[in-house]
Order: sequence, then structure tokens, then C-alpha cells
Amino acid sequence: MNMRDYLKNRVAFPLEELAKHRGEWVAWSPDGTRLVASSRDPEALDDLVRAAGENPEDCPIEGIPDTDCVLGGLNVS
Amino acid sequence: MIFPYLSLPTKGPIPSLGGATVRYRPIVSCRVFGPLGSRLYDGCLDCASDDTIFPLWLARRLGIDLTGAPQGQAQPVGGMNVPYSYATVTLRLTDGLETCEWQAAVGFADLPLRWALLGNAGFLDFFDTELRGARREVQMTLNRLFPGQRTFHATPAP
Repeated sequence: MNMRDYLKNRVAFPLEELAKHRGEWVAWSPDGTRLVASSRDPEALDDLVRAAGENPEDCPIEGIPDTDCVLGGLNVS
Repeated sequence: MIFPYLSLPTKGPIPSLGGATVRYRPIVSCRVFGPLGSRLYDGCLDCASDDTIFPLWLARRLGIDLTGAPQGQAQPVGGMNVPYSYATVTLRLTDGLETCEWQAAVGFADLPLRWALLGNAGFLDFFDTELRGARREVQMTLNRLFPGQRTFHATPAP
């Protein structure tokens, strides 16, 4: 995994695509160009990532908030 | 190390942002190690968090045994007290040019955290951190409290 590439590509990822995953946890491809897996259950991600042919250890995990304000990592309605 | 802020879309215009529909946050990917491997989990640099907190499910996934672990307790904004269990883990942070790895006592809480809370103890205490709002990036520089190893890379690092 090349973290330089990941950071550069993650920032450029289309926001409208991310918006489709509000309320989910997503696993990024190692280069940050695409989403490998997404789920409302973060513990399900590993299996989904493996099914997509990637190594869970190389795919950064991020939660996409389903509200417009997050305080302390928790959604605020 | 320099990390760009991460952008996330909002559902609608945000009054506090002049009607913008994007939030930019100082979120970095931190690798957490356990007996069963490691995961890169996004965490928000959070100087309002006394401890560094990860979700409990991540401990299960990494095989981190929390049996008999020391307990902590926190009160999220406007919320009820939340218990969490401490464990000492190895953390790794890299921007691809520099890698920092250290051991830290962090908390694991049974909360639906969208991202880890990279708080003062175990994380922010070890860096001099500059949040560059206009540039939407954060610069983190190791300080004398850092207890781990620092590596520079001629080629990009994982």
C-alpha cells in the first residue's frame, strides 16, 4: 500500500459517490481510488473486502455520518 | 507528517459554514495492531477527548483481549456516561514519507463511532499538531514525549 497515493486519491474521490453511503462504514481500496466494500455493520466489512479480492489489512475503514453534524465521533441529529 | 483534511458530504446546507454542503475534518488513518493482525481505521484528531478511543468491534476483530482490562468512563457531549476498556496496543501513523509507531494505552468503547477519537493520552500528547484550516491540512511533528520509533522513507511506506 502506498500511503502517498492513498492520501492524494482519497481527497479527490467524488463526494456524490460517498454521499450514497451515509450511515455506513466503508473500506477503501489501498490506493484510495474506489470503495471496496460498504456495510451498516462494520464487523461485516472484513468478509466483504476479502470477497472483493482485497486484504482487509490494506483497506482503510471509515464511517460515513448520516447526519450533518458529528460531535465526538457520534452522529448528532 | 502532513495529512489533508478529509471531506465528507452533508445532507443539506450548513448554516455555520455559510450554506456549504461539505464538512472538512482532520481525520487520519491510524493502523492498530492486535494479536490477529492490524487494521487501518480512520480517526479524528480530537483535543477535546482525554483518551484515545476505538470501537469495541475493532478489538474483537484484532483479537485484543479485554478480559479484566482496566475500565474508563467518559461522558460524550450531552450524553450518558460511556464505559470503555483500556488495552495497550501498537499504533502506526504514516504519511508515506515518515512513519511513527508507538505503544499506547487506548480505550475500546461499545459505541457506533464513525471514526476513532484520537485524543490527548496515547496520541496527541506525542505530537505538536498544527491545524491549518485555510489549507485544509494538518501538520503533525513528533515531540519529546513520543515513546516509539520514527522512520523516514526514501520510497513510499505502507
